Amino acid sequence: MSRIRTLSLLATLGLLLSGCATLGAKYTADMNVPANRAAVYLYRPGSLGAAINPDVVANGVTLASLPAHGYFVYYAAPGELTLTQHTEASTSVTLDVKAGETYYVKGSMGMGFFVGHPHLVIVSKEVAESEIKDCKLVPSPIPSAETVAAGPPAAAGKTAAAATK
Amino acid sequence: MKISGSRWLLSTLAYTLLAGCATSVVITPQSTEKSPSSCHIHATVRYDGKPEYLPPALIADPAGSSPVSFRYAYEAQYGLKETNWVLTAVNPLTLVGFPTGSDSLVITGHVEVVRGDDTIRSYAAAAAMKRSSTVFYEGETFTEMRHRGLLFVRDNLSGQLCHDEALLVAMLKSVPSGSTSDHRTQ
Repeated sequence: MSRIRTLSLLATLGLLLSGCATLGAKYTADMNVPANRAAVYLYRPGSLGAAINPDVVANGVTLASLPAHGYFVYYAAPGELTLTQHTEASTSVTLDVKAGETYYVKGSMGMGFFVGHPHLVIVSKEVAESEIKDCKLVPSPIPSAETVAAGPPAAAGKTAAAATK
Repeated sequence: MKISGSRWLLSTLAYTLLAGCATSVVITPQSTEKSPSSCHIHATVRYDGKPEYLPPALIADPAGSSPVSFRYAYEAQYGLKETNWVLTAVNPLTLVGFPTGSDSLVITGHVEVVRGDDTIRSYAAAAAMKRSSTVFYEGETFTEMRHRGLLFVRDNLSGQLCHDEALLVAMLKSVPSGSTSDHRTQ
């Protein structure tokens, strides 16, 4: 009986910790934004739903997952940029990106029936700077704007195949 | 009687689950008389967004020779309100669709009639949108709300421009007299 109890405890602990990503350095403003790009900061300050880390997707291309207390920067090309997350529900925001500007998108997790519902919302610089300072960098490499513009890998392959016919 | 009672209960439950999730929209100012696409004003238009969101009354004429031009811009303000998760978790009504939060979005669009550096006339429209979410259904995303809001604002502004079509066409044809501009705001 004690063995079953121990295994149950370990399994519960594993579930609880499985969503915890390894995060990098604490937030600092990125000074290396390319001249013809805008910096889009995505951050998630809250702890609710920490076990759920849905990916942030732009144009069908995954940028990175957004864990609790994590952030990352995407260098976006000018134009419309739509960012989405999906669990049992979907969330999506669209930005009118202008080169040289900085945008902040806050992520959070709300109550869902089976799984939490992600929320993305565009926030002002003042709100973001007060919240993002305690977030840490998501260490995943972020795709470039050119990769995002090309679309998801399957679409890129089809386009290349069509071009060679 | 038992069957119809069950159907009534299920229908009421389904309605309760989804009724609060529809997006409410308030557009200002109230629609003008003419339909949005009933006039065409050819002029130089300064706008750097998607052509789909430009009021259809404005037809960009890059070769326009009039010193009067039109400038169109819009902006969006977002709001997200989430009910405290503890309250949501302990509230038994959550399971029958009690709202767990709400999203709000206000789209404002401005058309300015410009001569040189002076704005001689301006038009504005706004679409305020709000929707609630439940544990079952989030409703429209901000992207969808933004798209609809931009179309509402576009059509409203187009109606306002068409209402003043004769005046605007006369402005486009007029030669500046050198006198001070007439600043009018709709």
